[in-house]
Amino acid sequence: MFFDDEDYSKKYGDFLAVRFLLASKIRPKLLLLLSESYYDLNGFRRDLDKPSASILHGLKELESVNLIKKNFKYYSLTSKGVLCSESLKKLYEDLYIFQSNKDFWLNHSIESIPKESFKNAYLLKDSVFVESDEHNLSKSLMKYLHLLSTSKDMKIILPIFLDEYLDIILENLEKGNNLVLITNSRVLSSLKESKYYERFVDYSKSGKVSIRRVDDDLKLFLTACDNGMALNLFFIDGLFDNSCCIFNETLDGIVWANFLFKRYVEKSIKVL
Amino acid sequence: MFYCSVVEEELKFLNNSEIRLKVLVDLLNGPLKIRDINRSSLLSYSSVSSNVHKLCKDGYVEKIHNSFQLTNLGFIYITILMDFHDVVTTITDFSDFWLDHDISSLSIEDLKKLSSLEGSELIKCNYTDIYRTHKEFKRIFKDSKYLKVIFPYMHPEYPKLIRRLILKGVKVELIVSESLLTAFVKDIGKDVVRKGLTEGNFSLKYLDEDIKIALAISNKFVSIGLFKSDGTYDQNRLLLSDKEKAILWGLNLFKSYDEGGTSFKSD
Repeated sequence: MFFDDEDYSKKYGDFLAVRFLLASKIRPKLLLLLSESYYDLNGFRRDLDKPSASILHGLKELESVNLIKKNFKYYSLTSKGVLCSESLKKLYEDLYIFQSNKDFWLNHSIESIPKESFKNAYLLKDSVFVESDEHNLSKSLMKYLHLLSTSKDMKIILPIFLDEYLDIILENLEKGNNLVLITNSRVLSSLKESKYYERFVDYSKSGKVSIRRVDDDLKLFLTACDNGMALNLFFIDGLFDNSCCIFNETLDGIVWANFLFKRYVEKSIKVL
Repeated sequence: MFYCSVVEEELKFLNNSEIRLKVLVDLLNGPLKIRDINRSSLLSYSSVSSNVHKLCKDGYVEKIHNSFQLTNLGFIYITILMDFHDVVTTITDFSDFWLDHDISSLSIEDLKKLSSLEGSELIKCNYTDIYRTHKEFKRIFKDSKYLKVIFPYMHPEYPKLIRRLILKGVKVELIVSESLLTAFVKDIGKDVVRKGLTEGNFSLKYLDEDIKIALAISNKFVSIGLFKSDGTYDQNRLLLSDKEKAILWGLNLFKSYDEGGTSFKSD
């Protein structure tokens, strides 16, 4: 599922420069602190709680590759250091959602998420995982329905046919909202045979609804609205996970979802 | 610092060993046996085996029959680390382009997408060709199908280039600082500026601030020039790329300047 034709082994022959930054616990922290302000040794000792020798060693190493400079007793970032520290921040933010929800990502299929979306995962750092539990089996569904009911524009990648979702989508359309729906042939067939399709056709005549089809075996349920995004994935064994949903109601989350949605628009064809 | 504290242990574990990273990269091409990795990487069998098992233990790799493959986590980590590798390479390969230069013109969002510039080429003037950057600039942009350009300084050849493109009917969008506006209009030629604006293939905007970047984007190339920390434009270095991702990066940067610009209207 992950494989493509690129010769990664050749291009990524060595990670020396990456390892210089990441194989140490102190070097990245020095860069991060300096991205906020200039520091002297006392300041580093106070904020890092490390002995002077370790700090000075790290500073010397960073200075030797021109990432930081020293002016009297104060250290600051060079322009190259600014670039590195910002890239480090992005790296940590990119990985955060995966590291803090490790089991979720290990147990769910990610085959429908393009590689580029992982590289922009920093946009998802403020996401919330809402999981249904024995006290409330429909916790994530309720939260999803709330998101949808307060949105104006809906962009949805739908891999399953479920009345609850379609009912709320139609309710929203009745309020004058818009919908772009991407789905696969199987769901589209079910939709066409359902009570909903005729109403979608009516709304499409006024430009309120557009339905697109992809040939992929969709393994994600994505909703990108003007007020937030929601993402459900399938378990590794192929079953849809209705119990856990990732929500993000920040602008960043919406940007991430729109980017992913756009990728599917590009490879889909309009059917309605 | 918060995000760092969450992922630093994992990053340290992976980056403590070049072999672990190589194994993850090799497995991007599909499941492999330890013997396959050992043969293709020329690493010793025991080193590969020991690191593969450590990666399995930490959930980055899993054993399927006699082969090993990436788990989702392994795939995600190495994908993001390769992106970081691209950024670091862009910074270190063009160290003297970035070092002691003013990068205040780049937003945090631009910096976050710096990996887009991976694979660029740094054009430098030398003793035998002190105008190399200008020549190269003219050469690559003279046949553009469209040109979006930000000039933070005036060079006598640039208005001529713009003039030629406008007269050829090429779509040109130019942004300059307010202080350079009159000089650019005069040197392009008022009649040509008027013609371009009227016919719609030329747009000219100005900013009432100091611009600290030279940026040009065509259908084929993107070029970037920076000011030095002492405030002078570095005419000796130009970062150039013909890669689509770099062109997109340039277009986004141009857009942010374009949105803040005021349109010049011909009399």
